[in-house]
Amino acid sequence: MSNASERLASEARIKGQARSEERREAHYHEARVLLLIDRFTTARTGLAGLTKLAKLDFLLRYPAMLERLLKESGHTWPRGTEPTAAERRAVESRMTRYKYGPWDQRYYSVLGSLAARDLITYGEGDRAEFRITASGAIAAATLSETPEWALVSHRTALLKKHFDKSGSALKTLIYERLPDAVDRPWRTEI
Amino acid sequence: MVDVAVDAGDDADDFVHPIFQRAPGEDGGTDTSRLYRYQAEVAAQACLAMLTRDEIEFVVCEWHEDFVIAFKNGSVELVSVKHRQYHRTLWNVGDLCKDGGLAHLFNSWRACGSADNVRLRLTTNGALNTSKGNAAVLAKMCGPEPEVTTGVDAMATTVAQYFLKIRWKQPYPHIPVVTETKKMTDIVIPDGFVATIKRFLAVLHIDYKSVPSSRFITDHNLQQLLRPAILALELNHVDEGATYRRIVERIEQANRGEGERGQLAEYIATPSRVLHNVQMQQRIARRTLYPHTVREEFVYRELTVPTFTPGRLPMVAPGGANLRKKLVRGHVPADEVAHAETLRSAWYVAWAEHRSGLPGDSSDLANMRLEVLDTAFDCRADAQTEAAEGSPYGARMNRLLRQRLTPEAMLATLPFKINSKHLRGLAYQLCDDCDYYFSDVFDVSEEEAS
Repeated sequence: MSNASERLASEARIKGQARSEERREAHYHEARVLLLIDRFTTARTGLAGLTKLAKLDFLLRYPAMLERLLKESGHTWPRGTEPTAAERRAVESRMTRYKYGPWDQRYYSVLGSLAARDLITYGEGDRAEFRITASGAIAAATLSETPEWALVSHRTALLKKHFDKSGSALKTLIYERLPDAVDRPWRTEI
Repeated sequence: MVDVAVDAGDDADDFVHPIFQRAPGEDGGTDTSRLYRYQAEVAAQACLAMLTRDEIEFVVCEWHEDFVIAFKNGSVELVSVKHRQYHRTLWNVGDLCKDGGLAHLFNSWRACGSADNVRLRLTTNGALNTSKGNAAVLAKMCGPEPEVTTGVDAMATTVAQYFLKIRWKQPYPHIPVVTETKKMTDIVIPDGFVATIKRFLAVLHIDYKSVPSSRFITDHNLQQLLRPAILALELNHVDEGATYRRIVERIEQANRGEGERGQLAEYIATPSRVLHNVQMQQRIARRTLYPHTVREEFVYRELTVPTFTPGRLPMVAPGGANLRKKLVRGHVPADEVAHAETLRSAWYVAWAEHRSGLPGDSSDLANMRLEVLDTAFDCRADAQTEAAEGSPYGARMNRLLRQRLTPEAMLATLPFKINSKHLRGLAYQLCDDCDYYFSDVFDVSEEEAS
């Protein structure tokens, strides 16, 4: 095999692998965001704003962080929804500050994909509002019944109960209560 | 000729060359550039406000002391900036009209057809004369809801007379020309001009109470505007000082757009903001700053993720057998083989810990893999060319990898800042995944690692 053909074969392999990883990755994020939007859609309103979505999703992805906010507010986990040992370790071992920050734009592809499949809608205007559609609600209900997603679905209920605040209020809450989760010199108060 | 006091002491270390003890004979250039910098820093306040205030659409730098803030609702604010040195006396009404730029603002407002969507602002750090009927009172008579409403006719008449007097010397086309008189009070005011001045005062705001001087404006803008904007935008690792300097320099660059004094406000004030004159469009575009233009000037202090997690023993990543066999086949020395394995594991941990965890990680990683792979094949081709026919070239290839795999050489980016060791770790992982070899291709499943 020549150097050139070896190179082409390797590139093709990496691209193929990336495609399948992207698909898997997208499905995972789309499922979680769908459950979140489903939970926050009511008869009158939807989930208001990308900032709110990103902050709620941050708490959903890092239950150990959510636990700290719950404890401070005097709330407890409903039985069976507590962070698993692996989830606690994951947060401890990761530098979570890199997961928090100006990542909101990364949700565009997830939301676009959900909207394109008529699972959610989003309103025009300065602040987008995401609402579940009828088919999205059926998909979310089906997903919630699977063992893989039941726990996440229960946790969205917890978020809805205690953290249904504006995006800005959630952002402030995270900055104030979880300063180690955001990479910012905390003492530079204005 | 400047006197020079030579005061060289015995100690050579204390000697200061006379050239450094001379007071500059003429410091006008420095003063002028400081003044321009001040005006740019006031314009920077509007530019920084754009980052957090949605209602501002863009800022146009007209000339050094002027800029225009365009709002999304179609209204505009014409701003004139005047710095007052400490040694200067208080502004009185006449100063404000002439040196303070009120006549100039009035002319610009008239050029805009005195349109309803135009507001005016004079920003100055100078203190206003508080005596009866003077500048401080004028400031209180300004705006749609003035603090002082008595004596407005008299004040408007005084301002009208100052403007008409200024017109004798200054070519403001929107101020009428009247016959020159010895005494200002003898000036015959054209019909309706005082009423126009009153309408002018109703759209004017004189901003002077908490305007910092040139000595403090940088600190003020950093504390009051840039830092809150960084917080609101949730940006990480912003180098505040460098960012601020770049924003101000960008404004100065916009100010320097042309040698000719610009009068762009009248075009920007058009409610539709549609310009059919391409030349004017281009001229305004060169001087326009949008929120994204300001964001482009942000300077980041990125923190590189450490190769090995501090305070923890390096873990061993799954796999590695293929890499070992390939390095051995390429005659790479044993210590380098061991180090390659360490770097591969370090990369494995770094990616697992620092990936964003959000959509897009896979494509970011794929792009970086392709670039690293490309470099690895180049290193292999070059090492092969350098080696004698049939000789092993793995060790040379490994050295080339070390030289060429640097973050600066990569166009792809990852969710965290990487170093050269991360890149080599990724390269060794690709080798372990059987993407390339350190020798001719062979069947790794049949090879025993030594």
